[in-house]
Amino acid sequence: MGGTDRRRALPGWAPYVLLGLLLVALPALIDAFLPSFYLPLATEMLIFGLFALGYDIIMGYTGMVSFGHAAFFGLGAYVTGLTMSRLGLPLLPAMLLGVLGATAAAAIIGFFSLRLRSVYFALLTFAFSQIFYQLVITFTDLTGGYDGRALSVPMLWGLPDLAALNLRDRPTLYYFVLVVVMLTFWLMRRVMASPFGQVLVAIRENELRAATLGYPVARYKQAAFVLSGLIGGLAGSLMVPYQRFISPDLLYWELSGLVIVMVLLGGMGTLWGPLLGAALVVFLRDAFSGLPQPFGKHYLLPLGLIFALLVIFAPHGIAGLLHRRRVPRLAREAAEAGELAPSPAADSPRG
Amino acid sequence: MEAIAVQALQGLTFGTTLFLVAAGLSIIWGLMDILNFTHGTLYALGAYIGLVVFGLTGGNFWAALVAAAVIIAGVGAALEIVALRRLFGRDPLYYFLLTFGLTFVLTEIIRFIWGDDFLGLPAPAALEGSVNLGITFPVYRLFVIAVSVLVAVSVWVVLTRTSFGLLLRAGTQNPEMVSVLGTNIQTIYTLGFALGSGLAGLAGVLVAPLTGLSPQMGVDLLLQAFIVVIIGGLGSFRGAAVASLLVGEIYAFGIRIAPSFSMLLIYAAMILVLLIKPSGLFAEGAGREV
Repeated sequence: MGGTDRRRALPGWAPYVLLGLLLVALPALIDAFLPSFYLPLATEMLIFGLFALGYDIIMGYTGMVSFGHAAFFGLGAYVTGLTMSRLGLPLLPAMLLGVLGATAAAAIIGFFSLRLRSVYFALLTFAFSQIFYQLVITFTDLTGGYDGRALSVPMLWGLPDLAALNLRDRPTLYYFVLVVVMLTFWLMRRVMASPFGQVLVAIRENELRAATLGYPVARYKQAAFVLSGLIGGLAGSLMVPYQRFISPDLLYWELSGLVIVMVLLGGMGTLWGPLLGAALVVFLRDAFSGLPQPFGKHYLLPLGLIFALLVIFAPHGIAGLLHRRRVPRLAREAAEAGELAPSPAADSPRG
Repeated sequence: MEAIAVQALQGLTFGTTLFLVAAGLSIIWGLMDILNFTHGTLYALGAYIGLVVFGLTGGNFWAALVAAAVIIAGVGAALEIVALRRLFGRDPLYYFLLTFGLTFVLTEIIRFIWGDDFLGLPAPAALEGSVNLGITFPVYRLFVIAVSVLVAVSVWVVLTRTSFGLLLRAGTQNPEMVSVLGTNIQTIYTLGFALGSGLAGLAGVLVAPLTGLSPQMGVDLLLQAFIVVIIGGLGSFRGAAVASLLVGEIYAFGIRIAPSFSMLLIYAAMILVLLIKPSGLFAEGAGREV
C-alpha cells in the first residue's frame, strides 16, 4: 500500500521502520526534552492503540460495528489481575489466561450477536458487554465492585530468563508494551493482506456477493470477531502491569464508545490509523483533564463534540483526509494490481 | 399473597414507565431508522428540567411534568434539525454513532450544571402516603401507572386515529411517496423525533420522585429500554408494550428473590428470546441474517 509515486524510491516498509525507530528512541527523547509523565502516557497510548487496532479488524476490515468491545478489554484485565492476586500467578501466564478468557467471551458473544446485522448487532454487543459489567459489580467480594481493586502483588514475569528486567521500571514496561504492539501490528498486517483478510474486505464491500462466491461468510465474521476480541483482551491484560489496578471502568460502555472514536478519528481499515487515533484520544483526554476544575473533569464534552463532527463531516478520519486526493490513483493502481483499494473506498460500515 | 401483589404492582410501575421510554425509542427507529442513543440522556435531562421548573414555580409538580415533556420535545427537534438531518441517506449505524457522541456532550452538560450527586424531587402533596386496596400501596406509584397508561393510550390513538399519525405511519412505510404526495417529510421526521423525545422527558419527571436524579440515570434506563426493544422487536409498538411489562415484572420479582441478580435475570430473559427468535417477539422480519 506504500507504493505511491513520491515514495517509489523508498521501499513500502520505510515509514514503518522510521516510526518504529522513533518509538524505540522515545524514552530517551522524553528523558531529554519532556516531563517524565509522558512516558506512562506513551505506554497508555500504545495499550489503547492495540485495543483500537484489534477493533479495526471488525469495524474497518469486516464492516461490523460492535458496541460492546470494552467487555474483552475489561475481561482481559480482570482475569489477568485476579489470577495474579488470587492464585499468585506471575504476569505472563496470567496474561495468557486473560487473553484466553477474552477470546472465549468473544466466541460466545459472537455466536449470539452475529445472528443479527448492522444496528441490531451493535445493540446486542452493547447488551452483552453490560452483562459482564453487571457481573463485575455484582460479585463484589471477588472483583471489588464499583471501587475496583488495587493489585498489590509482586510483578514477576513467570520466565526466569526475564528476571533481571523489573516490570515496575517505567521504561522496561514501555518496551514490553511496545514489543507486544509492534508484533501484533506486523502480524495483523500480514493477516489482513492474506486471503483471509481479503475475504473479510469482500464481506465488508458486498456480503451477499461473498456468500454467493461460496465463502462461509458467517464463519469468517465469527473468526474476525474472535480475533478482534483476542487482541482486545491482550490490550486489557497490559493494563494490569500498567496501572496495577482494575476497575469496572475498563469494561464500561464509555470505553466501548471511545474505541470507536479512536478508530474513526484515525481512519478505519488501515491498522495504523487506529493506533494514531488512540494516541490522539489519550492525549486529548490528558490535555483536557489537565484544565482547571470544573472544566477538567468534563473532558468527554469536547471529545463527544469532536466525535459528532467527525461522524458528520469526516467519517474516514485522518487516514481518509490524507487519502482523499489520492483515491482515484490508488483505485487505478489497485485495479491494475488486482488488489482492493484501502479504506476510503469503504463508504458505509455494514454489519 | 399480599407481598406478591405488591411486587406485581411495583413491576407494573417500572414496566409502564419503561414503556414510555421504549415507545419513544421505537417510534423514532420505525420512522427514521435512528437508534437514538441520546434517548436515555433526554430522559435524564427531562427529570432535571422538571426539577428546575419545580423550583421556579414554587413546587408545582404538574407544571414541571408538562414543561419537561414540552422542553425535551423541543430539544429533540433541535437535535434532529441541527445534527441528525445531516446524515440523511447514510447507513443507520452513523446515526447510532452520532447520537452516541451527542450523549457524551449532553451527559457532561448535565454533570456540569447539576453535579454528580443524587438530587431529589418530591412527589406532589396530594399524592403522598399509601392507599389500602386490600393491599397497602403508595398512591404516587398508582398515579405513575395511571399516567403512563393514559399517555400510552393517547399516543396509540394519535398514531392510529389522527391524520398526523397517519402521516407518521406513512412516513415509516414509504417516505418518498409521502414526499411526492405533497407533505414535507422532513417536518414529519422532526415532529416524530420531538414526540419520542417528549415521551422520554415526561417519563424522566414521573420517575424522579421514585428513584431520585443522577447524571447516570439515563444510561441505566436506556440499557433496559434497549433490552425491551430487543425482546419486543425493534420498531414494534405492541412488542415494546409487552416486553416493557415483562421486563418490569421480572425485575420486581427478581429484586424480591435475589436482589443483586435482578438485572442478570433480565439479561437471561433477553438471551432466551434471542435463542428462540433473534429478531424479537413481535418483529416484522427486520434485521435477520441474509
